[in-house]
Amino acid sequence: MREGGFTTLPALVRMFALSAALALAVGGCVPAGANRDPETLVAVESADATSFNPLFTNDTQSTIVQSLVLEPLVSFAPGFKPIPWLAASWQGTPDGMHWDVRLRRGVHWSDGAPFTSKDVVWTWKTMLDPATGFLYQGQFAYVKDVRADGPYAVHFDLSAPNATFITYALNAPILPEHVLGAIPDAQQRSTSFGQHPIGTGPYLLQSWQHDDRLVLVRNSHWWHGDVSIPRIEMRIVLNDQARVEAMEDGSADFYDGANSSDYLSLKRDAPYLRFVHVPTLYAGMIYLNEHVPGLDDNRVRQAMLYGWDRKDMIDGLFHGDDLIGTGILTPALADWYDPHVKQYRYDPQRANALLDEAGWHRGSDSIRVKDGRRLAFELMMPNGNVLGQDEAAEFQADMRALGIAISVEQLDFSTYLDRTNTSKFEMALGSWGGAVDPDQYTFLACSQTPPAGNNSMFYCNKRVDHDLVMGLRTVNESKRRAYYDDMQRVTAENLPVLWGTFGYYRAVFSPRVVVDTRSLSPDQYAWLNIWHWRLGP
Amino acid sequence: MSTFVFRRIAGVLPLLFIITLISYAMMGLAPGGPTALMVHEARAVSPAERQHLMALLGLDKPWYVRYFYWLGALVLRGNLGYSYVDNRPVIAKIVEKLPVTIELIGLSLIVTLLVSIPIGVTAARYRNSLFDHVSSLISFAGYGIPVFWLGMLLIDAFALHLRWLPAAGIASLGHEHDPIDNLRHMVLPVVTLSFVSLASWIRYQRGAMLNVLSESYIRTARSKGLAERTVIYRHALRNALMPTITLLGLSLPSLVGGAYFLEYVFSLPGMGYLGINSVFTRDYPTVMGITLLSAILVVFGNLTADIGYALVDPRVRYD
Repeated sequence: MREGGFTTLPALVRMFALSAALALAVGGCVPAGANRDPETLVAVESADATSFNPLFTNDTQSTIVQSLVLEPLVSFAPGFKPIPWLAASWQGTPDGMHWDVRLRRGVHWSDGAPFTSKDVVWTWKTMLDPATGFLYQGQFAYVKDVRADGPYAVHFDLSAPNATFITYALNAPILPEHVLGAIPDAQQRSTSFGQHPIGTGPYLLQSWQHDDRLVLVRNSHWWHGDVSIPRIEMRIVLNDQARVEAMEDGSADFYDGANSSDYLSLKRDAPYLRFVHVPTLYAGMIYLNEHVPGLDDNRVRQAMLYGWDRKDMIDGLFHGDDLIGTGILTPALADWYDPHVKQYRYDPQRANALLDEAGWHRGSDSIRVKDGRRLAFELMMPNGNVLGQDEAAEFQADMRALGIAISVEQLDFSTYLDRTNTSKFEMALGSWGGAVDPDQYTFLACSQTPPAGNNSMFYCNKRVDHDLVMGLRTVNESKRRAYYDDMQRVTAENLPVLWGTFGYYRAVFSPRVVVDTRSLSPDQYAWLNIWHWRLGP
Repeated sequence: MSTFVFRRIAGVLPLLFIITLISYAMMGLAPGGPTALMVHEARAVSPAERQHLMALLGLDKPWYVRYFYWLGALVLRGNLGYSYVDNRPVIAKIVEKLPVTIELIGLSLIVTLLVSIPIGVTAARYRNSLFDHVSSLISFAGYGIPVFWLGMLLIDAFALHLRWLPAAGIASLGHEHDPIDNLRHMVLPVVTLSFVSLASWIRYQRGAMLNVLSESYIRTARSKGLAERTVIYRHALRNALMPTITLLGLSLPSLVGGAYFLEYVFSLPGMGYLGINSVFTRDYPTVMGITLLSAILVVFGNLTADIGYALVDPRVRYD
């Protein structure tokens, strides 16, 4: 061994310190937005997609990337109006039981194979086969048969009329039969299609480093015409602050789904960016289990809503940048949302009177009591949601003032969902929505209580049931609207949940992105018209 | 010697079996499940359909049956299974995350060694001095502070308030292949992980040095009139370092554990981040893959330390 080797230790330490300092200094001097590819739109996302295979995914990020590569028969114009896409047209029988869909000609998959009715029929047969394990199979169980009528026509037979057929069934992405058709349905889950998709859409997957970046490039043979932005790079930036910094220093062009605090801080600190907020399809709410004594009384439910100062909460927690919830449908569904229903403005006097009327009177500790039972509930919520914790705390304080004791229980998300789905809760803080159709059958119908469906509140109202059933069966839009207007009126009186807030979908664009922000759709639909976007200098 | 090594390796297999069995049992008995998250954005999925999905994934079977299916696939085909989240092979998911974790642990080890050895040596050389007391204080602080808490404090101070360093991630946008930028991102996590590791290393190095300094050959060296610097660095340190090097293996469990938490705190897309997310999403195959790999790392770290001891210290018997 060489003598004196260890005498260099202090020198090594000095060298390390010096290089670390150099790294800090040099790294800090490089402008992050420099050397940007002018042909690439960089979007910052808070989560990664999981797969391009729509048969096995339902998370928002996967839906977004799938919509850029795969296409449905029917897409949406702003306002979620169905428009022909891979389908050139569709025609239903007057009873709504049979549908003929004409397919667009001249469409090709990204590997060059032609798109035909074979693809549509195979996609549907695979979705409906229980062996596949498609998540929405039950939702489409009313589709009895799908068959080709030549290479460019498909015929659908339904077992019952269903008004959501166009918006949901025909909006399902179509998969390539020539790529996946030879694989048994039970083995579809393990194909590599989800990581290496073939589509008909405006973009092709170029590369994907999970939890880091996903790169899409323009499909130059897209049937619809030219796509203006040649390349999209979705960067997964897990940290809120890092996403804000990326927008501020110009290293990103699009902050998709910004949370309210990031949105407002960017608006304050980087006013040169472009800001868009549109009502989201999701409504914040508190689920009430009507099998719990006390919560089965509508006067108690109404009292809680009157006594919950939601405006104060929105001002305090969301800087006033949210709306007070008024019902199950949000303003994002502008054609269906009815703002003229019973409103619950903060009125603690009215709330106290309702509780007195219901026979709940204040006990020695000011918590109300009836027949020896305290008016006390457990509010369940998922942990890790700081804003949700503050929301729960404000609700708890407001209820305490009314004489209702609320204890908050935080659970990890999986356990929370498990207990919500099986009605093992008294009250649960959560949200509902995302649908582009007003149908709420699985959420509110009497028959949909667990284990049959998702009415975990055990809400049951015969008039609402009638509205839901008729709304689902009625294809005529104006007649259908009457049922959902009534459903909204009745549920506003006879509360199935406590409406919390109507949030906003928020997006921030760099000045070089040319986009018609007035037509931007919320949530996972924000990318819907990406081919209209352009990149300026 | 070879019998000793073989016997120790043979003892590792039952240990790994017990670790994976307990992990699988804990996971299987935890509330919630993978299907709850799979369907949570598709609330129209009825419990009956969820049950069907569980049957397709084999989740309708008791956890111990599933465990033996998992073990069988691992032993017979070397297959760690497929993720419930994205249906990708678990091994591919782990391999793509490994470099970040190795970088974090590797850099932390280097920093820890470079800082702790000089401090330990100096503390021993000036025993009971102010320096010795201060270094002891820092060591005990390192022992006491939870790694995630220190990480959050450093983010608050250096990233959010002073804005000297990035708060999270491994690279800035547009600087993905810039090693300097990557180093800047690693400063806070590496400092955090090193600080909590320093405690044991400083104490261990100090103890080893004190032992060596009391040896007769050190007295001989001094009596020959050698400079104190030469006595310390040429004669004492070399011998004091030998047992310390074996500590490398023993430090792996705390480094791996600490790195996992820190990856979450600093949003570093490494194995720990994947592991914690997989626990939240109840992605059992991925959790088991990471558990197995971590267990192998820790067990073999200990094994290396044992063998190292046996090699360095003639008093350790092989039988």
